[in-house]
Amino acid sequence: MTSTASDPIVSVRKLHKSFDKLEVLKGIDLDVRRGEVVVVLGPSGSGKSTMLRCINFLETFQSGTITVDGRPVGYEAGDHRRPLGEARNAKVREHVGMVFQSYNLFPHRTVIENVMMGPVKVKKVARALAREKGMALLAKVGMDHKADAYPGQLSGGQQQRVAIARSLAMEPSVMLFDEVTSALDPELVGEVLKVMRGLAQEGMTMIVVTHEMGFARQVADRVVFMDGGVIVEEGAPGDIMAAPKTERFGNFLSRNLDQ
Amino acid sequence: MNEAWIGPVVAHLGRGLLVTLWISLLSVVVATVVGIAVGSLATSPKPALRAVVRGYVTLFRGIPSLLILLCVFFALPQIGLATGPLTASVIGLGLWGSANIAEAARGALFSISPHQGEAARALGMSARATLRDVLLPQAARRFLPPYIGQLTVLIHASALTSVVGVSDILGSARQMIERLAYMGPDSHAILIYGMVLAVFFAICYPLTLLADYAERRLRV
Repeated sequence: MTSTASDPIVSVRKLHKSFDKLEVLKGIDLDVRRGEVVVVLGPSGSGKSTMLRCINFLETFQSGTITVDGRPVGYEAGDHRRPLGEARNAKVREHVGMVFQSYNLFPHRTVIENVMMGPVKVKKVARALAREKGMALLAKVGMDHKADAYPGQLSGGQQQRVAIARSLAMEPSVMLFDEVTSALDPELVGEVLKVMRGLAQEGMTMIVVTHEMGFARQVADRVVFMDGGVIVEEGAPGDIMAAPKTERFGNFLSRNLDQ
Repeated sequence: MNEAWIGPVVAHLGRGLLVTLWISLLSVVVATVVGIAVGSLATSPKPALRAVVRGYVTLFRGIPSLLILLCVFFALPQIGLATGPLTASVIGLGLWGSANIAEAARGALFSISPHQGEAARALGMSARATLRDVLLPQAARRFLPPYIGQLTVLIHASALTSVVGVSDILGSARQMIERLAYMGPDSHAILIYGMVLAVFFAICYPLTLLADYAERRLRV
């Protein structure tokens, strides 16, 4: 058990990513272990969302490797950097949950149908079982009373909680959160962070890109600070957020202190 | 004025109308099936496939429907496919209509936020399941109003088939007018074309209303 607990679920090596001539990731190395909560901080344009999107191959990348649960992401392992193909990418994504800034629920399906979509369409779970498990997940995020509502009838915070339940329904090895509270009205941020905090306490492996300093300080096992496409500093929040080693992180913290 | 000509003319126009409806129906089916298939391919991740789709749509939308009709009618026998005027018409109109319908389908698909596709793929859904269960159902609502509009256009275009010898309602009307012209000095052209006009209007106007209704009702 101890050996598996220390195995990285997500392993990023020498990741380089460019959009045309603009290099946004300039060699990222990151390991995330089972049950670990890693919060990624950084100014906008630092590449943190792009890195997250590379992990489930919503973005291609030019060099470097990523593995999830030991499976290569996007490209064949080894010397030949051949694309894996859509079917194998889909297989890897089954193990990676992702929650987006703009929720991206399916507007033509009800809340419970959104949650059932992955298990039914991808894992071919029987509808009755998927519904039962889906309702339990909705209860967990406090949304079971809206199971038959359509996403358009919900507030942003409610939609985001449903989106989290939809991702959890696939029973992923790791959850990626991409600025999930950035589009929310301030009074709705708390309900979403509370759900995420609960997940962290249950031992879910999470990579969280956020601007919420309080969440980073209280929930993260490790904080990673990115700027200009590289990881500038990382460590336990109690250490590096109290005493940043670099000027860049120090400046970033003081600019975002009141948040 | 002698009214005896009316009975046979109406009967002949009626037979022509059946041909018009039959051609319209068949070309609508061909255009819809091919159009939606081609339009959906425009979302393919493969650039080569998208280029083929773009070429197909651009080509057939850039040519007058009458010209396509003539080309199919005269070209198919050249490559050993003996087709009658009716089959040639259905193929010609179907191809022409499919390009317009493909464009409507493509437009509807692309009006869906790319985030929808990303969310589906992030769940591990295949490209096909993403299209079938997430993108197409949403696109269908936006596709329907322009699609119904295209049906009207296709039904109008069916009148062109008389050029390659189909006895559709317009062809039948012209035959009648010419025949009556031998029999007496009176011209019946205005009356007979008036009937054809009324028939086309009676078919297409409800479709126009339906398109307007769909647009209001399904506005997303």
